[in-house]
Amino acid sequence: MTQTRPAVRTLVLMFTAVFVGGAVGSVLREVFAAQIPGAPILTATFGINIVACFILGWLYSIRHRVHAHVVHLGAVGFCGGLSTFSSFVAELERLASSHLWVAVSAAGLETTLGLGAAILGEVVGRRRNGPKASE
Amino acid sequence: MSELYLHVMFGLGGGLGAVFRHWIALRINHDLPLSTLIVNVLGSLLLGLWIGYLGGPVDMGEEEKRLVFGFCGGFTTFSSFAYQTLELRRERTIALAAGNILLSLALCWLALWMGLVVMR
Repeated sequence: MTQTRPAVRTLVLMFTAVFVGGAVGSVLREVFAAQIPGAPILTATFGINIVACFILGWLYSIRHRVHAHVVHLGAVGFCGGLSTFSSFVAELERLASSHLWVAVSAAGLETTLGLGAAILGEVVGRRRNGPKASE
Repeated sequence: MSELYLHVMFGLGGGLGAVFRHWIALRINHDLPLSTLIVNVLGSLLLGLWIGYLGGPVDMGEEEKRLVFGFCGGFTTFSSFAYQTLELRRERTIALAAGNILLSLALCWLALWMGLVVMR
C-alpha cells in the first residue's frame, strides 16, 4: 500500500496538471478565436495553432531543465488545449465548401508554418539555454 | 447565463479532453505517434457528429454545446502533431513524417465529414 502511494500521487499531480493546462489553453483559444473571423483563404484556428506550436517547441527544448509536471502542464495540457485539430479540419471543410484548392493549400501552408513555428520555438529555447548549458 | 459561466464550461470540456488525450497517450505506447493520430481522428469525428447534430432541430442549452466543443478542442491537438512530425523527420525518415501529415489530414477530414453525413 505504501509502495503505491508515490505512484498515485504522481498520477494525480500529472493529470491535474494536464487538466488545468488544457482548461486554460482551451479558454484562451475560445476568447481569441471569437475575435478572429475566418479569413477567406485561411482557417480561423491558424494563428492560435501556430502560437501553440511555437510554445511547444520551446517547452520541449527546455524539458530536461524543468520538472516533468511543468511539461505536463505546459506541453501536454496548455499547448494541447490551445491548439486544435478538430476545429482545424472543420475550418478546412468550410473552406472546401467554396473551393477545394483553397482548403488544400490552407492545409499545406498551415502545416508547414506549424512545423516552422515549432522549430523556431526550439531555436529560441536552445539559445536562451546556451550559456548555462556550457557552464 | 453569464458569459463567464460559458467560458468555464468550455474550459471544463477542454480540460477533460486533455486528460483523456493524455490517458490514451499513456495507454498506447508505440514508436510511431499513433495516439495523437487516434485522438485527432476521434475528436474530428465527434466534432462532425456534434456540428451535424446541432444543425438539426434540437433544443440544446448553450452550456452543453460549449462543453462538447471545448472537449473536442482539448482532446485533439495540432501542436503535438507538428512536433511529432518533426521528430519523425529527425529520428526516422522524411517519408514517415510526410505520411503522418497526409494520413492525419486525410483521416481527420474524412472522420469529420462522416460525422456530418451521419447526422444529416
